[in-house]
This record gives sequence, C-alpha cells and structure tokens, in this order.
Amino acid sequence: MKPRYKASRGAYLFILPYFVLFFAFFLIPALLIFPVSLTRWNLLDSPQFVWFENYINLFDDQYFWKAVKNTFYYTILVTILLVGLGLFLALLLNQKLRGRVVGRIFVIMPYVISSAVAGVIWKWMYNQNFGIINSYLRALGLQPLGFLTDVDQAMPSLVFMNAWWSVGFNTIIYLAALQGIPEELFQAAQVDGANPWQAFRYVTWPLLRPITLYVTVLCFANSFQMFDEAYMMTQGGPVASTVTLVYKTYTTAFEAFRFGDAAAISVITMTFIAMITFIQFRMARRGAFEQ
Amino acid sequence: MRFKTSRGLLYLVLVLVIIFYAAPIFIVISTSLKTDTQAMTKEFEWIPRPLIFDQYKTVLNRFPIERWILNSIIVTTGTVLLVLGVSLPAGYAFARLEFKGKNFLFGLSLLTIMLPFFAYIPQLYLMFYYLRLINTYMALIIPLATSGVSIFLFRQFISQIPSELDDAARIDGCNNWQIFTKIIVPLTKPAMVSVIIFTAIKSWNSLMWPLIVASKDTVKTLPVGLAVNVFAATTGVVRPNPYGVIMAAALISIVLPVALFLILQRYFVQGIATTGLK
Repeated sequence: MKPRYKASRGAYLFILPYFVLFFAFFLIPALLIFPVSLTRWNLLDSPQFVWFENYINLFDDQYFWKAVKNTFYYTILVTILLVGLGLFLALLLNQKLRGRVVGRIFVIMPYVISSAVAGVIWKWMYNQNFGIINSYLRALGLQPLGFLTDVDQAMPSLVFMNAWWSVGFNTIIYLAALQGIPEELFQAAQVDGANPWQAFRYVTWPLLRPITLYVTVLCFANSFQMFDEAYMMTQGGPVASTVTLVYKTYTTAFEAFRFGDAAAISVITMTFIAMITFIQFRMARRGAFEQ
Repeated sequence: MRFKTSRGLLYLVLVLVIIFYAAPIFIVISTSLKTDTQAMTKEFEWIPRPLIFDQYKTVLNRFPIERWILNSIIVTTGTVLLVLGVSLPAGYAFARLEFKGKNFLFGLSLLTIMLPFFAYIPQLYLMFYYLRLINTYMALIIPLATSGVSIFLFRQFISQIPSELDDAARIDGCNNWQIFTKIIVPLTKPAMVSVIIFTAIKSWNSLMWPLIVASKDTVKTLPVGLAVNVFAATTGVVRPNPYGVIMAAALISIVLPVALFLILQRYFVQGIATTGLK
C-alpha cells in the first residue's frame, strides 16, 4: 500500500491556477446556458424572461429540424468514413512495403493544415466550372457534378473532404495499436494455415476492438460539433442543406444576436450528445461482456 | 503481418493513396503560380505556362498576412505555456497529494471534457465582453486552457511513476514543490510532448472562437484573416475566381505547420499515439 500523507502541505496551491480559470471561464459560462435559454436577449437591451418560449419556437422551426437531421447525417457518414479509412490506411502502411514511410508522411500531413485552409483547397477542387475533379470527369466523358452547389451533394462533399484532411489522426492511433500486436500471434496463425483475411478477422480485429471503440466515440463527439467545413465551404448552403446544430448556434448568436435562442439550441444539442454517449457506453459494455 | 500474396496489388494501392494525399498540395502550388485567367480553364494545367509569381506579391501587399502569422504564433505559444503551467501542477496534485475534496475537484475538471466548447461559447463571449477583453490575446488564449484533458493525461502519466522516487526525495528533505520540479517534471516529458502537440494543433486551427473575439488585425489569427479577408472573396460576385491569390495565401500559411511537422514527425506521431493508448 502507498503511504498516506495527511493533507499534503500546499496541495491547494498546485491546483489553484487551474481552478481560477476553470471557475471564471468554464463553470460560470456553463451554468449560465440554461438561464439564458429562458430569456430573450440581444445583448444591447437587458434580458427578458420568457419561460420556454425559445424552445417552443425551435420545435416549430423547420430549419431547426433540418439542422438536427443534417448533423446526424454528417456525423454518421464522417464517423464511418474516418474509422473505416483510418483502419484501412493503417493496415496498408503497416505492411513491409518500400515507400510506406513516404505514404505515412503524406497521409498524416494534412492533419496539421488548418480547417480554414483545407476547406478552401477543397472548395477549389470541387469548383463546378474550373475545379480539378470536374475537369477530369469531363475528360473521361462523364457529366460534371455540382458538388457544393447541389443540395444533395453538398453534405457528402463536406464529408469526403475529411478523408483527406482529418483521417491522419485515426491512422496514427491504429498504426500504434497494430505495432503493439506481437508478431508471434501472426506466425502462429500462419502455422495454423490462416489466410491474410482470416488472420485479420481472428487476430487483428478482436485485438483492435477497444481502440475502435475509442476512435468511434471520439469521432462521433467531434463531428457532432461540425462548424468549420460548413463555414468555410458552403456557409450553410445551398438551401440550408449544410447547416449543422453548431453552425446554427453560431449564426443565431453572432449574426442574428439572439442569445436566448442560441442557448436553447445549445441545451438541446448537449442533450443529444449526452444521450448518444450514454448509448455508446452501454453498447460498449455489452460488447465487453460478450467477449 | 507477412503474407506473400499480391504484393503487386499492395504497391498499386499504396501509390494511389500517396497520389490522393499529395495531389491537393500540388494543386495549391500550381494554382498559386497562375493568373486568374490561367486558373479559369476547363482542363486543369499542372505546370502553368508561363509561371507567374505575382499572386504572392498581391497577397503580401494586400493583406497583413505576416502579422496574422505572428499573432497565431503568439496565441499558440501562449496557449501551450498556459496549459502546461496550470495542468501539470494540477495533474501532479491529483496523482500524488492528499487533500480534502480531491476526488470531487478532479471530477469537476472532467466536466470540461463532457461539455462541448461550442455550447457555452455565447456565454463565454459575454464574460469577455464584460471584462473588456474582446480583441486581446488573452481572449484567444484563456478558453483553451480550461480543458481538463491535459490534467487527466498528466494524472494518468504521473500515477505510473514509482512513488518510491518521491519517498526517497522526501527523506532527503525535499518538499512537495521540489519533488514536483526536480523529479516529476523531468519524468513527464512524453506526456508533455502529447499535450504540447494536441494543444498546439487545437489552438493553431481554432476558427469559431477567434472569429468571434478577434476582429482587429492586431490580434487576428491566421485562420480568421484567411477566412474573413482573403477567402471571403470566393463567395463574392466582384471577382468570381480569385483562386490564384487564394492559393498563394493558402500555401504561405501552410509552410510553417508543414515544416514543423516534417522536422518533428517522430514526436508528432508518438504524441498522438500516446493519447490513444492510455
């Protein structure tokens, strides 16, 4: 057993700097969300208490429900893409191939590029008339696509841009996990006559399950808060097809200056996130018992 | 995994992957060396003829981009230092020291991980508004330092350092502060690399919060300057396709992070990997 010291000397001084910032710039603003959501407030006039009017208005607002739908649509697509592609790239770059180091550098590099720059690069590539993708589609004799200008294609285009921009993070995590798997396990599988697919299915995949859960939860939580891509590439358009909940919070607070409504959207969004996290952990626990 | 099946296919896939990830960078370089009319061709020209460097001149003359880069460096450095300064001691205290309310306070700090940043951004803005800190570096630095992720990471890491080291130092007459600075801090380097890297990326890339609190060029960070001043031109009708200028600005702004990444690659990969394998 570790020796126990009774109340260590000066212990509070070690945590004091953090908790000063914590109270002033996290806890107080966070506790204010709910009270503010019950007011009508444009920052210039003093807040007016309106009970649940903001919530009632939101439930009647079809654009709010559209933002809810868009957010789930984006989150699910991005999570599947980033987890699947991250694993695929890690498996590829873990093979003993010449040039895998170059491959790793290029796959991971876009992750250090800021969302603003990455967004505008893809906006240019997606450009309907002069973008490189359409230029090749035309060369192949295919119909050019609308991408960001098309109501149905805009959101998938924002999703796909992440295959380039942010997959590096998951790739690094999966690569580290793969390198932690003892080589003997694969040798044993080979001796037993397993083909590469069976080795993956029965050796690699079960060992990667905890990591897969970790990156899935992280991806889900991050992409549920998508703002940057929509701001940089589509400004929420066309026809609000890329407005997410966070984008709506931003425009409601800082373009329309309706702080009460913005806080109400925040409260609802947080409720969604809490519910999803709870379900994910329930599923994870059940998975753990099955094994 | 060593299976001798279809090496050829694996190499083909690897080449395609490298092309996919490298191509956008070359598109940026190529477009930045074209005039606006050259950029507006139906067929994409990889090597522009003639090569034009005017777009870089335009960017540097028209926008205070070097000031934005400097601001971003100041804000990122400030954020990293503040995060280390507040969460390293706190991580040590939660891992090693005994005090009343320890578990409660630790749990409280984890709330910052559960409550997303955007949710309290409007209220945070009000705080800074009333403190008259809008358009200051402080406003850009402080909110990123309240995250409990680094405390959590440091606590985990410090708990794994054998406590016999502390005991030995205590017998030699060291107090908690000396144990912290002389023994714990030097042993925490791998965790520090992790925290420095993800804090730096978060701060350097941060877009929404700086959009809200930094509207003056004296404090504007690079992503905001690009988004508001340079790229906004892409949605305008006046110049329908100023992508030459935009790509020149994009290239100027990725030089520093990409160079740092290439130099510090090993630490970068290791730093991210440790966050995943706690």
